[in-house]
Amino acid sequence: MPRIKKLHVYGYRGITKEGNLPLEGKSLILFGENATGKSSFVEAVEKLLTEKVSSLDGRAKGLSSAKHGPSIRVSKGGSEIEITFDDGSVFDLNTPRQSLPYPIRNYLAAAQQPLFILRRSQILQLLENRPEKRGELLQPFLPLSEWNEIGDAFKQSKEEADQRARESKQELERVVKELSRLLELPLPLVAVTEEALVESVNRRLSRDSFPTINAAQGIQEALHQAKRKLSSLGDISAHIALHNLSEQIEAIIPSLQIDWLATLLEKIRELQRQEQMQARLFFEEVLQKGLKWIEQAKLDYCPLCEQPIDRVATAGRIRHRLSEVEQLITVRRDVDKLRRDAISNLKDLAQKLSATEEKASSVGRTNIVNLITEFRTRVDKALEVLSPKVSDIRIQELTETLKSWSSYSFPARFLEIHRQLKGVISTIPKPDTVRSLLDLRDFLSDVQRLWQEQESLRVRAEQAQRILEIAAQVFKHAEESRKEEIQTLFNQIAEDIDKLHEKVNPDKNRRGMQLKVRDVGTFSVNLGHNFYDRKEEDLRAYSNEADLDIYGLCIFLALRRWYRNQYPEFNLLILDDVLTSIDAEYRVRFTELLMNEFKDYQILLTTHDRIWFEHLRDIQARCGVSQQFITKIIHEWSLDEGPDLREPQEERERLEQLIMKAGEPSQIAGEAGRLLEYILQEMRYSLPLAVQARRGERYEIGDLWPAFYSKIGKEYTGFYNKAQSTLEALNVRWPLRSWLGAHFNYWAKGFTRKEAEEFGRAVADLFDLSFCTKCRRFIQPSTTPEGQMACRRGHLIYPPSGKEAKPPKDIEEILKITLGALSDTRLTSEQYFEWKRAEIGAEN
Amino acid sequence: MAQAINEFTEKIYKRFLENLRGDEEIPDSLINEIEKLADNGQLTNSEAIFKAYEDWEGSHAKD
Repeated sequence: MPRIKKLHVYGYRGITKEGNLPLEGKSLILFGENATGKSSFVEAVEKLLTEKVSSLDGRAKGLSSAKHGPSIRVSKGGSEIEITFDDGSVFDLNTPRQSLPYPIRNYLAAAQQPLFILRRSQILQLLENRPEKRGELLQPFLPLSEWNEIGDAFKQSKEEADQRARESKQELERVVKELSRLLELPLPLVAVTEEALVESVNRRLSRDSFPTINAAQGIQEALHQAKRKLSSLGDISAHIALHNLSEQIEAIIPSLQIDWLATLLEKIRELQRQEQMQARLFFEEVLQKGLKWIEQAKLDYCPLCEQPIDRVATAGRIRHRLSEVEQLITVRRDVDKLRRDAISNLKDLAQKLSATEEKASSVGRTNIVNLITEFRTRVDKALEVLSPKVSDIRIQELTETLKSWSSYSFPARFLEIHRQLKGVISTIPKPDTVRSLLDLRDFLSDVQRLWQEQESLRVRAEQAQRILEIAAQVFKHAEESRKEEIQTLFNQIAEDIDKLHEKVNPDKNRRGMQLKVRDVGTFSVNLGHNFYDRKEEDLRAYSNEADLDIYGLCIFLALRRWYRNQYPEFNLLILDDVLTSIDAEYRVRFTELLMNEFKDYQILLTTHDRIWFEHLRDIQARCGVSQQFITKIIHEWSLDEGPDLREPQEERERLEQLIMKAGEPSQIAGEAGRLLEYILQEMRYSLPLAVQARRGERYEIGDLWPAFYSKIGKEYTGFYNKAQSTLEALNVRWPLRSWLGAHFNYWAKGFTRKEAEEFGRAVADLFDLSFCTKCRRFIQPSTTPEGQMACRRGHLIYPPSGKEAKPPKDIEEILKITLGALSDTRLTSEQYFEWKRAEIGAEN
Repeated sequence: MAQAINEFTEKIYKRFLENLRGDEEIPDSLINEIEKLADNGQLTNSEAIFKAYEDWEGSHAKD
């Protein structure tokens, strides 16, 4: 069964540089404070195995693992995620799955569904959301992606059917509306009936004295009859053209009376006579401007000859002369208006003549065309003569034009032509008769076309409706089948959830877990259970937050176990900080459940709770699974370096090498500082140390050393005596003030080689005294005797002064070590031990 | 069913066929067409499904 041997990540999410987790096929407990990059490892695994990251893909528009997955410190395409399996197979972002051995391919195929990762946010959302949202959240935990594609195809085909049915209906409605309007019928509900159609058509046929019809088919015959009758009338369009021509000539005749032109001519002559008589007064503009100058500028000399003048008398004379020309100006204005009216009349006449000429030409009436051409020449000439302004009109030319117009007797000639045309028209059918027949023909033609269209569309709409109904029915079955099968699955796993839940919460009054897929909606889920005598109650009705969390975890684990039954080779289980809010009592039981019931899984468990991390390690030992787990600590995270995953033994070895191989003083001091900080961080939790709180729990040596030194000296005398010279060397030689407020790289620069070496040696000694290389753990206070410090199995042991060492050896001792886990539970230690004894007895 | 690789999909599909067969309004000829689509891996092709409906309607109209 494949297991992950090593996870290598480079430049993905918070893992800025290289981050390796050497799992060696074991499970992992990964501890790190908030924002140290734990989840980045989880996201990297998710990306590699499922090609998505649930916290990015599909969460919001614009958010994606493709865009936001790679670390902001690597260039595009620079990320690496690689899993090495225990058979040596390597799978990375570019490995073709087909190239891998069969068991690995199976493993990866099963891993494509993200059913193996649980995050805290998913538990909360699952329990607190509305049923439809809950369905959405459960969806990723069910292997539904294949069926969803099928369901989507049935849904799309139903939507296509729906679209087509709607379009057919709209098209039918449009035609029905048009047909109803044509037949002058009220708008029917669906379509015009044949009965209504026949009745309406017959009304129209009767009006035109045509035989009525009995059925819609009869329209064709009625149409033939109308067309035959129209044919018998000869060339209808020619008839109509002659009628129109006659009407147009009739409209021209009144315009041929040109009295207005004669009047204009007379007026122009009169004007010119007056202008000649008063030619001297035609300087009114000069007079008007001169008057203005004299009055406004109060000039006492003539602006033209510069001779002295009597201003008042001169102004009086100018006003008198202007009054004399006023009449002439009025006459000129009137004449100009007459001229413009004449031009307008002539243009209108020219337009009518053109239209009539065109019509006459189309019906071959050459005599009319010739007359119009002849007359048009005079009209154009008159327009040309009248175009200049009044003073420039040439009287002689205008008089001649008028004379030629009269001498050719145009009005009489037009009247004669019109009379002749009337004679021809009297022999052809009347326009009303022709128009009525034409209307009937068009009416019948339109009715026939729309009726056929309506009937064809009615059939199409009915077909589309039938397809829609069957498509909707099939889709309904697709949806119901999915829901029924999920319900069957839920019923199976509900039993398992109960079994799992019982291990964590033995209260028998909380059983009968139910996951119900609701009939309504796409995928909507109700969560319920029995609470004492209340049946099928909403989970939230009587459960506190911890209970709800446990239910959420049990639902996930039951689903995971069900999925494992289908893909036994896929054994990965990732729990990303999911235990944080669970009460300590439940945590202990839940972790035991995990260690016992899921021992054949490869578990990756992250937590940010240091105390809980320590308890997890204890519980591992108690459950006998320590060898199956490795633990890793992320010390800190920075944007440039990513998560800091260094191991204390590695630090110790590096320090030794620097001391032995002539490392720079700053290198030795820096490395020693890091190791000392590591030791103090461990001691901070295990002793525990009282230190002033710092934001983000980020403590430096200067924060921790005084508390550590003081506590060891007072309470752990055995260890103090053993390590006294080392502790004093660290406490005295290196004043604490130099450790405060700055980190290694800064303060390590001030060390001499000798100082650095002494500091390095002291830190290395402290490490050797406090870290057990066999247990791979630091020493910690024993439960008894008070004041003793020892490692897990007693390889390193420091009894208090004057007392004998007491190594932890029986199960009860180990249980006592986990007592801290109960500090915030309601169980007394006596109850706890009673429960544990019973459990151990049952197991044995 | 050609395209299914997972047991759960297979189970849903079988139940789906059972439900279709149990529905008097769904003609056998259409169910056969859906089965053919499944055998040809066309059950995720909405156009192929719609064509099956149209073909069924065409033959239904002839009947």
